Amino acid sequence: MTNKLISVTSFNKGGKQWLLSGLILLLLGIVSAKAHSQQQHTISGVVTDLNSGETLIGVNVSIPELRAGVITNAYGFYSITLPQGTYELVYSTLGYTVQRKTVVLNNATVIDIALGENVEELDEVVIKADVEALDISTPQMSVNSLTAQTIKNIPVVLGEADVIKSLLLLPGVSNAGEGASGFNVRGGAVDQNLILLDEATIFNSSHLFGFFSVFNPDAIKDLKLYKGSIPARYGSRVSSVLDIYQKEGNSKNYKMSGGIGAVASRLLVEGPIKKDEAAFLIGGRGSYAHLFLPLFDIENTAYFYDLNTKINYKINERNSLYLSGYFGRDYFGIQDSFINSYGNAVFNFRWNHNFSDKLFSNLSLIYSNYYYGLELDFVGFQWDSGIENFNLKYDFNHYLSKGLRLNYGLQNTYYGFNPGKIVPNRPDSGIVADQLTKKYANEAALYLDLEWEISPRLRTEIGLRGSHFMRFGQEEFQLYANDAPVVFDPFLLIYKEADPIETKSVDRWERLKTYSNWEPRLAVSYTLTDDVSIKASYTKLTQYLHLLSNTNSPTPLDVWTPSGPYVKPQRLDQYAIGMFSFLKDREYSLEVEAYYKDVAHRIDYIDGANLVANNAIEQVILDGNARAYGLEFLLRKNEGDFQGWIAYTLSKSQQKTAPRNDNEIGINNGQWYNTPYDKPHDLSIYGTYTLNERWKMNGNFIFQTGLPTNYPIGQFDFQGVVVPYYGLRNEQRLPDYHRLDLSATYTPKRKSNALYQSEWVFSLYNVYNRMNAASINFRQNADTGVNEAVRTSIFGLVPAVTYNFKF
Amino acid sequence: MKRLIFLLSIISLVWSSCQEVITVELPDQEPKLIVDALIRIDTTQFTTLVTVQMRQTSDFFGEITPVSVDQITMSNLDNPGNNTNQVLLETEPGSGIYQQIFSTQQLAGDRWFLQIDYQGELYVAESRMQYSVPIDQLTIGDGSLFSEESTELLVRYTDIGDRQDYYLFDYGNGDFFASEDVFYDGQEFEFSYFYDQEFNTGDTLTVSIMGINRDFFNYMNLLREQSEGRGGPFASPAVSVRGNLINATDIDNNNNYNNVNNPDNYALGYFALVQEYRKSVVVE
Repeated sequence: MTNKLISVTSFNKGGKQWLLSGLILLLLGIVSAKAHSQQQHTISGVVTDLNSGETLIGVNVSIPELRAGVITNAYGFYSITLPQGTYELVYSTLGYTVQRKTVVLNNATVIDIALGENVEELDEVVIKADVEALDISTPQMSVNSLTAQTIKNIPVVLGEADVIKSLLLLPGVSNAGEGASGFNVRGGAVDQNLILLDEATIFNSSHLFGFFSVFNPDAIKDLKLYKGSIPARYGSRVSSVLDIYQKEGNSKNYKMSGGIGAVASRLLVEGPIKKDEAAFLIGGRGSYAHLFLPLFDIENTAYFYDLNTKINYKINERNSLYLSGYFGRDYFGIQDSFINSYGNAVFNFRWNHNFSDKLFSNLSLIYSNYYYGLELDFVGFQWDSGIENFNLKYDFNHYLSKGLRLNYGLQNTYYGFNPGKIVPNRPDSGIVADQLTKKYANEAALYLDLEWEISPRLRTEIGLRGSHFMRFGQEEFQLYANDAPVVFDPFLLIYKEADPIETKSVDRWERLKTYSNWEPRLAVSYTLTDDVSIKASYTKLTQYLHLLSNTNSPTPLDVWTPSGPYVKPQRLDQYAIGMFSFLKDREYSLEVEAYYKDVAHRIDYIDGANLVANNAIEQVILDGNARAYGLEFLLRKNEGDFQGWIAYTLSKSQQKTAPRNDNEIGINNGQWYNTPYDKPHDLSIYGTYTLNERWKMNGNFIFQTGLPTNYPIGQFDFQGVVVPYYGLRNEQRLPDYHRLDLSATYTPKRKSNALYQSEWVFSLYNVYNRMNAASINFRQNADTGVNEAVRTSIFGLVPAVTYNFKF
Repeated sequence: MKRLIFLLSIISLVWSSCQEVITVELPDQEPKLIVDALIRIDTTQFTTLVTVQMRQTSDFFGEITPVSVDQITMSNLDNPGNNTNQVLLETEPGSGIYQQIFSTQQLAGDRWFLQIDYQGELYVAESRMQYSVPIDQLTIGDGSLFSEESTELLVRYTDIGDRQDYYLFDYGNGDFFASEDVFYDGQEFEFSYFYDQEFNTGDTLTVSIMGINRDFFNYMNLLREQSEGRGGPFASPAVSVRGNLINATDIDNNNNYNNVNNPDNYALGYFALVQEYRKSVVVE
């Protein structure tokens, strides 16, 4: 297996002919088996938004009489090959009016479709049909999507529409409390989510430590969260994939939109560079400068901003180019003594090319980086750390025949890790400049994914991904006795850092360690009736990067570390089954899913592990396991004046680090313990009600089991310091969490013909002002010397007003 | 700074805006022995009075109380015999304070073994004195970090180059700070400490610097971290801060070589011999 994968890697540097022909040969077997004597023709095209010219992702293109269909890909492209004949094609997607088009198919046909509200101008017959007709029959399960409109409707704290906060209302998605960064999917850790913005990896999804997320909702076109059944084109993280595409820019008209909120203001400009051929988009968002000012009685500055840019150019029918970029920064400073700044930057170049009406390709060159910087003047240093990667991807969608599609491609990512660099920040500082050992790695993957309709009722998606990871040499590489960087003290029963026996410098291009893994994926759907289907899936994934974090939720200064000689890649097996149905004449949909997942080699930290500025992180890491299982319900109402959903998840998320041998006890006595984000019950209710043309009301209610925590089993003191001590990990819980949020959107009457549109959003977060516990801490009161338990709550009732506009 | 602890504390402050003292019911636990045996050695003195305090743990809202143990001895592992095995004596019955006078030269140069017999259990620990460096200068600054009602104290000292050093600073009132020299090896180094209060003119501030080893450095960092009871999503996980006292009761090196089957029966605290330098400054 290793040999094969290495040849792929070398291929990556050489020509592309080899793999392409190899893959195609492989496919020919399948294709010829499916060949029919009847004349076949291909319908292909691109689906766009009528008003803006934006391509639309995930539009269902169905041919009801054949019970066949296809979904537009990430670039709006679709292709389907059918026997000669006359068909009716139905184009539908969430938020757009459904269109039907009749085609007399006797040769290859290109049908580009523009969907919109304004359908009168078109010849197509408009029907009102449910928007998710195809979803129940596709083998893809465990996926949620949200439209930008829904994200904007959901009431959030301080009125700042937020992608991740909206995702938290879906089943299987939670986080470690208000103000916690990132999100947890099906009991997975924050660093197990692959977050892609225009296919580029975002390493930290949070602004201001976790109060807001880094995505400007105005700039987002499409968003999908894969919680399981992850297609083979994705890899590198074991829990979920959040795949976000930015808008391309309006190729028909200049448009401006924006908003003024309690926290930040936004402005987005888009328009054609050359009508219908090239467009640009530039969006900025910035918060006000002193967000935390009221919290301290001392001068402080805290703000964030982000910038989204995109240019697209449609060269001809077969070729399109995209350039996109994102840049975001957070800044937090207290006087001049403490200055903290961090953020993501991504840049990518993509080239869409249709080799034929059946073979779509996309080549991406992506650069992504995460930077963290800290200046501590009272100690006298500046600290910088970060991660960067260069990613080359070549993906193909091959629409072989009516019931058979292939997706294949290869990906190569080169990583550079800077765990930290310290320099004196002023001449009189005693700090000596130092660079913690930089690390380098390369991850290559190739994948093949087959979507196959075995019969109109039985459909399957079979995928295989081969991944290959190389950890390169570094300047200081430490060797330990018995290859064990962590030793166990059999008398004190604690794990400790081992002393290295040798430190050597390993040449940059030498391999310290190589891993190769196969990651099979399988998804099957069986449609019982027009309204009910059942699905099952199996997913295997490998994760080679780990975020070093042992706080309840990651902090901006946490660094990523690659797998290598001492840290193994995480390996996931996830099994899911589900039932998907429409109720009451398709007014409602109900999804029920059960899952079980198991992660091998989930890193765990020894008690008291120090992760900050640690140059030998292997000395505090042990190899553990994680598991999670649960049941998810999602009842959605997608039509009418009242829309919304009820999401309920019953789940368990645990981890365990067993002893390595009989003379150890493992972490937590080797027993399973709750992860810090384990929430057995998680209920979210979201509703939106359109009262009239002017007023729309929105509301959320959330109920969750309190997060696991530790209550002390006693206290001791040492040299006057009073210290609580604890039993096993995460055995207690915080009180249950619940709150209600409401918002109302007011759209002032538009003057006829006026382009300017605006709306006011009035929101109330935590309406009944519940003091939910974010933590309970045990400490000695500094003034009275008496021990106390202190409950920290983050947000009580928070009212906010936001003004949005577009023209 | 191995630990940018400052930073985490600062971030957590953001979450401290909505705090309320609440009542919580806590799990019950048998009391454990606490051994407070930080032996600070002034190497300019001929003899050193060694003081060890014995207490027992309590429920978090209870009271930590002194206990008398059956016997405490300290013995010299490098030079056994020679009257170096000494029993520490309780100053007052029930006080839990045990003392004995030792030769500074022997304390400073040799490995020492502490042995405590208590309620049929035997607790042992070992230590060798770590050298420190003197404080070159102590200055009161005018900076502040979180609140105007704080006092900045700048400590300047000169690290010895080409070796790993760990220091423990005692600012009084249970305020400790542990530091390692990774980023200032061999340098004259100064950093600020912020007291949470303002002092009056004429008040004396005393700081001591102690030399410690890596294990004790980790211990003190953890102790400090766990005692702060910080909140928020970035708080470090709660752990029991385990010191270096081994429950050796069942270890006979014949049938039983470890405590793997006895994980809950341990004593808290630390036995460490450290060289200490002190310096004071008067508030003007």
